[in-house]
Amino acid sequence: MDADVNLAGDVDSFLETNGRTFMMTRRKDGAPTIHPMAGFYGEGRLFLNMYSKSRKHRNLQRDPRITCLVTTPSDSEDFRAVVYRGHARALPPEETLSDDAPLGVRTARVGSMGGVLQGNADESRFQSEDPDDLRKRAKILVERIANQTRVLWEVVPDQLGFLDGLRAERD
Amino acid sequence: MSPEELSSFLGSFQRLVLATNDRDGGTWGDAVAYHFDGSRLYFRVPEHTRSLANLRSDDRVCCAVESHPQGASYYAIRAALIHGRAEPLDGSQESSVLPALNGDPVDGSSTGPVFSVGLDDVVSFAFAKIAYRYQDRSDL
Repeated sequence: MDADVNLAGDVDSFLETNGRTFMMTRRKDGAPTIHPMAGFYGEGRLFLNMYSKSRKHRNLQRDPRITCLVTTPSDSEDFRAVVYRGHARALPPEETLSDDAPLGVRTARVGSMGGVLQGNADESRFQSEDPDDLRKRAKILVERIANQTRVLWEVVPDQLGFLDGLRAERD
Repeated sequence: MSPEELSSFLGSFQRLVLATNDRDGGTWGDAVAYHFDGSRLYFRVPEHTRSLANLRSDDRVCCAVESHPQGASYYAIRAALIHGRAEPLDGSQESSVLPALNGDPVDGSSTGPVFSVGLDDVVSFAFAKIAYRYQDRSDL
């Protein structure tokens, strides 16, 4: 395993628990930009869901290099973050909607409220949501994935670990 | 957000997420203490960090302030993304903002230069304003 990719138990546990994700890419003019996202992590893999017409999608199509900072909630007293950095890979619709898609993909697409209730996705993420509102959003999401209005991207890391340990200037 | 909402929002928090251009050609992310004085953001980047090395090579930044309390619904999300060039402060300018930065629970005791960025290129959103898009969808 690459020495810069540290998926130790505490990092994996942190990513399982925290979905607040800041996605960083370069704009067309070369400046850095940030998009706050919901990251969908499971079984050691991180996925992001976005509109295909969005600037973040176009940024990744132009240059797939990506840095994600996955952090504790905004009102947490103890701020911690994991750096999840590497290249992004767009998933085709058939892979995204497959019955045996990875856990992170199944959670990201929330195929149906029934899927959430049946444990097909990580239902704990949605406990604060109104069930009827969530069902409406989930149905729209699946339609938009099928017609490629929305696309899932996987972040394939070549650098992964707590920010504390990676923050220092490199030689 | 309206200008008034944005000003109130930025004045409510102490920590932002900072994106810089990395010397390997990609981007790099960090989180630092900040202070907002009504017109500019001020943030301190600790010494010997990758972010500081990046800034000295390329002063373009994006600063993100985001709020989504744990357990709150999707429609509670608010955020502001500020793009610009990080301008270093001199010693006399720093003294006016250091007390606010020193109060940060994570980086309050760190040392490092202070930078500022204006609000000329800001994207902000409050998802409570789009809840109506789903509430009226009786066809779903």
